[in-house]
Amino acid sequence: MGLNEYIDIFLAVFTGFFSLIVVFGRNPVVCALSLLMSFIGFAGIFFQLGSVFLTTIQVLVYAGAIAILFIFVLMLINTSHYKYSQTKKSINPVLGTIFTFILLGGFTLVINNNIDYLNVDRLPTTSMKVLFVDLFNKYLLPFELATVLILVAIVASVVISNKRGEK
Amino acid sequence: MQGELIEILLKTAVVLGVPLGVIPLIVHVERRGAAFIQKRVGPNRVGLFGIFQPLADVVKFLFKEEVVPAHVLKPLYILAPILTLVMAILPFAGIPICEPFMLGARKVYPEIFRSDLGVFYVFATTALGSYGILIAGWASNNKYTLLGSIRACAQMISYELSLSITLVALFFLYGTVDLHEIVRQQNASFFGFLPTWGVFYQPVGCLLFLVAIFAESNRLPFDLAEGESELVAGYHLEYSSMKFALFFMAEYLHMIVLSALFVLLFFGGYNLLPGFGLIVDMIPQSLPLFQFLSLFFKVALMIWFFVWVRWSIPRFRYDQLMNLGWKRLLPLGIANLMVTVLYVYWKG
Amino acid sequence: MSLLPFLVLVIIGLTLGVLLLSISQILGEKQKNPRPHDIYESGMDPVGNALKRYDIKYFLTGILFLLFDVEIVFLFPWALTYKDSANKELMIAEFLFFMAILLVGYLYVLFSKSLKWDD
Repeated sequence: MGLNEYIDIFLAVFTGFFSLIVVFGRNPVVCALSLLMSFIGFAGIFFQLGSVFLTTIQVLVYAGAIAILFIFVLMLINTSHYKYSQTKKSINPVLGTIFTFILLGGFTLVINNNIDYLNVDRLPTTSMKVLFVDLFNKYLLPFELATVLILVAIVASVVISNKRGEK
Repeated sequence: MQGELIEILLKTAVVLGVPLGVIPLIVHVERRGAAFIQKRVGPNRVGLFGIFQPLADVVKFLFKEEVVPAHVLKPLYILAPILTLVMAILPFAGIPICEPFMLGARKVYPEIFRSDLGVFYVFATTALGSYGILIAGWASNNKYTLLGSIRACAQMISYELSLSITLVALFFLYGTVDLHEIVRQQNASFFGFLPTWGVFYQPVGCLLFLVAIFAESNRLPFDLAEGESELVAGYHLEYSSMKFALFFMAEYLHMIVLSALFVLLFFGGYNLLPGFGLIVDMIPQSLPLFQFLSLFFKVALMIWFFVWVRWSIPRFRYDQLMNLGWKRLLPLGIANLMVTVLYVYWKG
Repeated sequence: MSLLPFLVLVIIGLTLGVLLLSISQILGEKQKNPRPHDIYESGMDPVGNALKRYDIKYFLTGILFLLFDVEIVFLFPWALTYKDSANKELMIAEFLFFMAILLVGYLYVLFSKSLKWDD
């Protein structure tokens, strides 16, 4: 096993560990921080697959904006005096885990049957210019529609915050 | 892998080691500069011109009692300054100090992390700088630090927008993200004597960038997060001794990285200053060294400018600050971008 | 290309931080009878269970930052591929359309008076 494989395994364990903390952690700010760490783990995985641009975008947008937003919200709602542990025993976590494994098994089957299409041992490292020459020719409509989607989100967030604020 | 590691360590020693080593000097310049502007003397007892004062400060920090207040969330509380320091160090990986040069048969790139992303990477990692502040404010378990850290973070993210829009206009103008290429394009000259620096191509962008980096590094006039009269000491209220010193170091590192970026993008970066050209003509191998010295000199001037502004103008109120970021700088950035695009389209 | 530079930088940062803190911990004097330190300056009443009126501005700032950041991230590849593009008129037209939508969003935010920071 070469160094690259070790790094891949480390990144996978790193990301998975912090994702588990996000799901099972008790202090919400620790969960948000673990979310940040798992985003950084994802960025590392993108890097290992060969795309530096995706790594940077992941850090810039996910780690640098979305996780900050999560932490903002958690801090504004001061939940330090809430109790987090559930006293009622329920079947839900067990069902959830079983279903997750079934889903993962299904994914593995599908991927194993279609492995030729994936062919991603390491993606070719391409510069940003080569990567995006299609974005503005073939995929122009999705690009502009994404802008409209963002506009919708802007309007929605302003409306919702006005309504919340008035309460 | 061994050779790669040694190369990285050597580059880190210069690109990161010099700023880290220069921080005590900056602290001293700040205090003497503040004194000079305020018509007093400043620290001049410890050593010649008080040059060992920062050393005395470091020793003081080391010997001070490490207080961990009882009410804080201990793991996060101790993690916060370390996290801030790490986040402040990361952008240095994309800052080049001189031209790529040939060492024997190999081309050596003088930045710690070489990719085809350049400025983009530096910008993305400076966006992470707000985390240390958030965690510090939260972990202190204090209503005031919480509010202070949220406000500081809101300020930083608001000005990041102006920063990124200016960067878009710059990338459009230069046509590349690679810092080496950008500095190379600033090597020509107008009319024979004026260098084609970025500031002459994008004056509005330069101004926007300047204001944005002041706000990003939480320096006066944008340092409301640490404003003494407002929120006592803001997010690092509950921190004493070395933890506070780590926050300080991180802030200065952030300042250095942003100054370096500003100089590289707008003021010719590591292009040689007028006198150095003669020396390099005589000894061609010393080109990297003199480029590094030119960059160092320009960044030092920029840091002096930071200090100068800090002690010259009063602090903004928070609502003035946010208004400036969202309602004045952002439309100005958008207008700058549109004018740049239309101008370039018109010309070619 | 490898992650080695980042690893080196992160390790240097962590080492520096931990080292300085440990030295300070060892060298710093300790009180004989340490008193627990109270919170500086105020009592411990929580901020509130729900987002109050003045708090929602910060949330709105965060969301608007995210959205505009994504818009600007869309502009980066455009700015880089403009020079080598075949049909410059098309690029400019796309850009103007994109900017128009962005401006509509921005002007809406501006005129809806929701970004008022005077408490």
